[in-house]
Amino acid sequence: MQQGILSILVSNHFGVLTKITGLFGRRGYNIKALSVGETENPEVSRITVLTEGDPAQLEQIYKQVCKLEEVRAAAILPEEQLIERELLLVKVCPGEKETGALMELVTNSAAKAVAVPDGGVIIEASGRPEQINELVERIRLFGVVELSRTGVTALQATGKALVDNAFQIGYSKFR
Amino acid sequence: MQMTGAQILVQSLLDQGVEVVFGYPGGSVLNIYDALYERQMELRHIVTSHEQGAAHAADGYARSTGKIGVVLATSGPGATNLVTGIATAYHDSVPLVAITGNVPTGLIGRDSFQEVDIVGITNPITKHNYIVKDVCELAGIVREAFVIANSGRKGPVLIDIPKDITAQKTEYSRQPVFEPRKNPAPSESDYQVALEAIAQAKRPLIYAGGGVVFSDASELLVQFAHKISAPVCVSMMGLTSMPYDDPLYLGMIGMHGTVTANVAARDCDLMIAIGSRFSDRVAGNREKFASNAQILHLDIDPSEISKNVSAGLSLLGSAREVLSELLARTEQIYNSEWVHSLLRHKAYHALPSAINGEELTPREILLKIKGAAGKDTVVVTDVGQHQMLTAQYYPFSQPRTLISSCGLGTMGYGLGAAIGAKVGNPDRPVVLVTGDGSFHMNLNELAVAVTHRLPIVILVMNNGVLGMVHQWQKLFYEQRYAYTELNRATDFVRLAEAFGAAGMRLTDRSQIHSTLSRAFSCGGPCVVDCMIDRKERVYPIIPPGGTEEDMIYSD
Repeated sequence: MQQGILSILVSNHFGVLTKITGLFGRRGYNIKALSVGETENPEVSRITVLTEGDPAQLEQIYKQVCKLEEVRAAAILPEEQLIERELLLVKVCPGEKETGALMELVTNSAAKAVAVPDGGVIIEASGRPEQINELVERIRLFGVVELSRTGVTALQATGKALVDNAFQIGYSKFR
Repeated sequence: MQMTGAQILVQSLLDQGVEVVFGYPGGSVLNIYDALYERQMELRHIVTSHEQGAAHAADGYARSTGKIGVVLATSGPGATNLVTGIATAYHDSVPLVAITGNVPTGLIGRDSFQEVDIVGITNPITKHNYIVKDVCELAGIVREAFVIANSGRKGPVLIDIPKDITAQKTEYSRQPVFEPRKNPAPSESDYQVALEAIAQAKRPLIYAGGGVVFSDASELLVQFAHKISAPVCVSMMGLTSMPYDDPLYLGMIGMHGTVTANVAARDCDLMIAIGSRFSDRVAGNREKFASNAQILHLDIDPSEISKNVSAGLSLLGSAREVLSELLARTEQIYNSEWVHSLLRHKAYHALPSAINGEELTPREILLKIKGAAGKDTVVVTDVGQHQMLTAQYYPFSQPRTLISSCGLGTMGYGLGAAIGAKVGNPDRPVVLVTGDGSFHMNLNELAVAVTHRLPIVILVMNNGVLGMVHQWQKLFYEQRYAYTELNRATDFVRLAEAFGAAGMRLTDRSQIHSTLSRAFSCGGPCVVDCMIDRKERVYPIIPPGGTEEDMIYSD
């Protein structure tokens, strides 16, 4: 089993996300994390899916995704050329004695903290999913009230866009 | 010119070259029906007994003519009744445009009367689907639906139109007739690698599928097979891609395939799969299938390459285009030792005899259809033993003469599909081979065949049991015949007469030819109740998950 990040540019239409997630569901592909947002072109959204499988399965997932009519370009981003980030929001209510240690952790982790009513603090951090995992483990010691993660988003670390790169990466949809 | 959405829809269908629409009226499509009524001289509309029958009719029309089938249904139950038909078409890559009405935009999402999310429901069984939210987009969407249905690997597309959209007016501008998108084409180096493998092969085998039939590449297939001396086996979808009497033809491969086809798959050193997809009914055991061979897969759908069986070599493109390029680049090759060994094998391993003493057998009936009906007969089947026997015994000699639900295996498919096939081929005989189980599912469509005086001959292979399930219960469930011995009291002859069709009963093998001749010449729909024995089995059979070593030849 290996992980793969699939970056998908789709027409910004009603119901497109359902078509993508439905495809994963019915073919038995796992979605480990998912993020969606508009791109520089308001007609296009980018869906980033963290999935897993052996190389043949990843290839099959990619080809099935490419067949969807609303997919404009897609690629499994190459691991050696990958900027991947996730955003974490976590709420803690530290005791008076713990506040100093928590703030130290926040500073050292390049995170931000903002005080909220009822004695809460919301910590905001972004980073690679492993870094976020690690930070969550350390914050846990202060007692987590609740937390939310966005799921991973990613770009290929080159000067070119996915649409330009798609053919090199193997994008093979014929229109 | 200002037109309503409904008028635009009908005009767009005409602009895309549609000649006939199958469907069923209802509340949400009243405006569309009103527009159809206006244009009834230009666009034929056939109302079926049930929307499922309409979907199967559009499918049978498409498979038999190569045109796109169009089906129309109302919202809610009308739309859900299409689902089995759309899924059937999706499984077998049949180009279909399904149009459903929906409740007015303002009522969507409120669980309104006859509201259903048909776009959500049909996501997994369409190539693409739309809900029209702006009447100005309607004409463009209709055209695009035709493009998608007929491009690359074909398949169904659904357009859901809320009722208010069909009433709104806008300026209509005529859309050009759709053109399919350009197919993928292999590179020159892809061809060279493939040709090298073909030249090196000592024991090549072609495994042809529906892609050959649907891209009208049958003649090219025959030429190519002879040019490289490769015997040909076919999937069920690939039947009719090569005439049954071609010396290189080995018959169907897989679960109910011929022994020779399955042995050839075991022994070949190069398997050339053309427009076929290594389904579990062909490659029961994916790891062991053609395990001595290199696999060269020709397909139009990139996701089929290495989906089920890993293919070392592939050529991406339409069967017709790729075969024609291959032919142009190949010199005559001889593999006479391999070909002769398979021909000898075939001579010694024929299918079970069609004749069993004086018994009336479905096999003998199947062999005598052509003599009574003619060479260009279109054969439609339902699903079960009669379907597999048709695949095994009927002597197909022209492409698109078998219409059958192969992938989804939809019992009840046949009568609707036969109606569609006859509407699309008024000058050719159409025969439906069905079983008493399948026929019972959707025999309501007999009313439609009578209304439109469609001379379809319906051969009901009547053994009182659900034969294929019964056979599996015999083979794999210690003869515990759970709920398959239905023995309905239905009298098919009187049933046919009640619908206004002709009815006949065939009980004696000496009467086969005369009964069939009368049925085919009676000028209208005719049901022939063929009283066969429930002990009839389909052999050989490879049990699911097995290989040719596990093949069972007889009781």
